[in-house]
Amino acid sequence: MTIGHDNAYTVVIMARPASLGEFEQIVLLAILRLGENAYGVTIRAEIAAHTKRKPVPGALYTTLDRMEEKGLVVSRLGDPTPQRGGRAKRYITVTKKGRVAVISAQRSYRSLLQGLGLLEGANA
Amino acid sequence: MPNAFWPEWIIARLTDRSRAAAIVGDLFEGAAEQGTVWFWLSVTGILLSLSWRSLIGSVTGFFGLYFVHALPMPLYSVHAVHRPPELWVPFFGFLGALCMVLWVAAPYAAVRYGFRDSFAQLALMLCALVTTVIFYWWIPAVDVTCLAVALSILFCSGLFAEWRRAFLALAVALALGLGGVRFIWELSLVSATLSSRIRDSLPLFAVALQTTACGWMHRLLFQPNQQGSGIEPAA
Repeated sequence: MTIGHDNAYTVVIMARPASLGEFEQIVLLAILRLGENAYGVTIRAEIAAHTKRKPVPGALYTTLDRMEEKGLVVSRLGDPTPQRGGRAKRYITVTKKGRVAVISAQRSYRSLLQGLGLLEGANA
Repeated sequence: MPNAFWPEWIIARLTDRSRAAAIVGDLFEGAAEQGTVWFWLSVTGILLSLSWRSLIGSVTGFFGLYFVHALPMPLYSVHAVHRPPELWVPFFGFLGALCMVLWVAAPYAAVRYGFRDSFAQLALMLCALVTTVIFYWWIPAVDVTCLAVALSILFCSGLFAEWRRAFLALAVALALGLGGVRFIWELSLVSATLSSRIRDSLPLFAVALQTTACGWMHRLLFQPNQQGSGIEPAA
């Protein structure tokens, strides 16, 4: 956000990225991996495939609601399908704010991991 | 395929209708692989996840009402020593009613939405402010401080959109709550004609009304994006 400028300089304040919990990061990364096809079922499957733990639906939907309230994701309704009893899918997309938040969180992890060698050698 | 009318109807009470339909649709897809038992277990889990904060918030609100119910005795003893001027009595009557609904709304909002939420922050501040004014109105420094805080709240509510929304939501919720308290007061006047079960449930009714009003207003003004969609693609 630009708060003031003159001929000499421009002051820009970068909004602080939203803080994320571990599960929120996992969900955001799963949505980013899925791209256009991210909805409840595929997000759970993606998380299960990569983390070997299947989140319970209640936890996933409340997390998605919370992240939507925080402006980290947005949703849109797809078309109703017969396999779903005529109900539409709610597709989720990560917003710019969500992307910035997940990048910031991952940078912090990477910075903390640096020099520890935990992901090298026998642990790789 | 399991009958999903009631699960969808109940989930829609806790979130919006399109979201409830999408959740049940997802569970239908999962039930095709994992079975009906999984479907019903998931429905139960989702209901608990969506409602536990609201339930615990309502219980906390009830304890708030129970606490404020115990306030009149110490208040009478304060006002017996520091009797307010005659002109101020209606004002204190209004503050007393406001205090009652705030002691339901503030604990409910704090539990339901957390301390970071501006609606909860405003409710807690006003609750503390009104309670302080009622008990310590006779100390000039307290009056001046409370007036300064009240004016600051009004100023912030005019200046910042977030606080303006919180102020509007809380004002409407409290107005509904006060209306409910008035209704209950009228009912209690004729309570001799009511059964004891109805009479005993009047405080519960007051709490339910106030917490529902808070929930509605918060949802209306703070979660409008849950009603719809609109994609903002990641950059």
